[in-house]
Amino acid sequence: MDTAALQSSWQIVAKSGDDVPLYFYSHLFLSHPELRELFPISMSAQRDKLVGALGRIVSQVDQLGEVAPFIAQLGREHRRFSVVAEHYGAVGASLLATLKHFLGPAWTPELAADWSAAYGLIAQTMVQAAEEAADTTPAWWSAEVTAIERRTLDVSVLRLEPHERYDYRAGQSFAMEVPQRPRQWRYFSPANAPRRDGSIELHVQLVDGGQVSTSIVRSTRVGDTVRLGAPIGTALTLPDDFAGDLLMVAGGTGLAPLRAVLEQLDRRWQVTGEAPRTHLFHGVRLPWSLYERELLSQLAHRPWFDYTEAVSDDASYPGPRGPVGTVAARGGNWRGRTALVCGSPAMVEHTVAKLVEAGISREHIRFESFGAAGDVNQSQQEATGKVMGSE
Amino acid sequence: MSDFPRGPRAPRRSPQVIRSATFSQRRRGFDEVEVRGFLGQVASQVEAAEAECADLRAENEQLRADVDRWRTELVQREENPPEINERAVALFSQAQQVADRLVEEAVQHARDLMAAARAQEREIIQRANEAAQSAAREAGTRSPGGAAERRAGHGGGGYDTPVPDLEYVRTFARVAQVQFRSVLEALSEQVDRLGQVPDLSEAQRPGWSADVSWHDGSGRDELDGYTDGYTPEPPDPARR
Repeated sequence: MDTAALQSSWQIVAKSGDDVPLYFYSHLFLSHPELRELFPISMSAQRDKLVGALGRIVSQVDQLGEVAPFIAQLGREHRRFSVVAEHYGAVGASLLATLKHFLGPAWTPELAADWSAAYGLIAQTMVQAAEEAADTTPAWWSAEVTAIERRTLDVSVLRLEPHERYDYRAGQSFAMEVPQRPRQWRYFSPANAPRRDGSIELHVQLVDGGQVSTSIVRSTRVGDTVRLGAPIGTALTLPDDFAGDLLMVAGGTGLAPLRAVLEQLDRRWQVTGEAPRTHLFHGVRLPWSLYERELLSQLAHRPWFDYTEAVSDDASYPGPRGPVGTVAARGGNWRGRTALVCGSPAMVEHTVAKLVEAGISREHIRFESFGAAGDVNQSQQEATGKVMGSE
Repeated sequence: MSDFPRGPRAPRRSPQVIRSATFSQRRRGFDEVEVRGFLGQVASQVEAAEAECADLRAENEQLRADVDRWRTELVQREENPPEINERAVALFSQAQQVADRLVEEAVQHARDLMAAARAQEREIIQRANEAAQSAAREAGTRSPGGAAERRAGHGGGGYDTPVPDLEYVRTFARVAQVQFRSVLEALSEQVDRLGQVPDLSEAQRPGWSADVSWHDGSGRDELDGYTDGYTPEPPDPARR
């Protein structure tokens, strides 16, 4: 396989930008109309993902070891979209047709054979990963909504009870699909450490103009059945014997995974009397969005825990004001602490920069980013990452 | 000497040979002219038949080649989907773009409405704040930090010391919030289905009990299948 030829031809194709995935999906749906229903009506989010994923794979195709885990993860992620092995052939044919269309005379039989071989390898890796995962886990878990509490004007707390056992670690996330918005999966984080009764709490923030979060906050009912993908993410999880001190910075409902980790730490403290010294900064726009004030204020009576609230959009607020990253960075001497950051992408970016300025080294700052496989932060992000299958 | 010896399985003869055939002489033979004429006719018929045969053979080969070609084309068509027409792809892409644009416009519209509402919200707070400040200045009262509630983690200084009027406005806003939410809650049928009234925690001031309730509706949180080697026990009060 001539990897240089693959890469240079991809660079030529990628110059056509958004037209490439547009052509690809049109070709795919014309040749296989039955695949159209696996995707949401609007394909704009989908297109970036396809190009992003392909670009990443092609650019690393000569270091297959580097990119194989990413491809395998893509394969596992696609299970919940009801993607089956046969679909890969259809996608491959449309991919080759797309490359041929955009490369014109540069599309030679040799290049076609190389692309075909490369795609075959990708598809095989994805299918294999999906099949291996199928031996141990279902494609998705169903869960019943057993309680809904509208905590503020635009934050709801949902309680879910999965029908089958659902194992996850505090700090992880999963994709969820609600019946009102079929094929539109969004990432959420359990806000609690795993419980004996298996129930899971989610903090859902209404995103302005967000199709899914709006429908969850407004129209999800007790008794609804939702679907959950497999739990993912390791950046915000801590081993049970984690040693060292912590700084947590949460924006809005980015609090959820950190609350789960706090619960894990508190259980440890209740049993052993020891827990890492932890300072949590919770940032919101307006004071009444501090939707976990009661619990966190009570937790602040623990010897190991401190809690600071920051409000950015109320000039009259008598406590710390400003973006939570700024407030946290100047809020103490954090040298030697491990920072866990969660919130909207903008908030995370800003906070990380501020903490680095304040002298925390980058490798001690942890936040979730799932790259082309979807950014995770509880519904702030109306996007997931996949090439095929529903959103 | 005869071209036509009597015997089985005579070899095939060309029209030429038939025409110029010679026969051995016998007494009481046929009229030679008649025989010659007849042989000429037979030869012509054989000639015509052979020509027709050659034509048919050529046509047959042509047809066989056609059948072969169609057959391979059929197999190819079964193996590969038909070429998707470029114009169809372009048309489909256009339709998809129209759909994308419509969805995007709807989302943008919702976003603008929300942004406008939030800006208004900020403005109202700002105005209430200013009104309270000026009212306080007129009254000339400046009471030191009489915050109606202590906020946790209040470290650091540099914020305005709240005044009673401002605090009143703030409390009023909070009460309005709670009432607004109660209305929302009342509107939803969730309460009926839940069988228990949701806990409007912010409506009541928290009592400063040191008990942290991680899980509504269950006294203790316990681990299951989460191997951390801990057996959950009540905390040792001596450790507080």
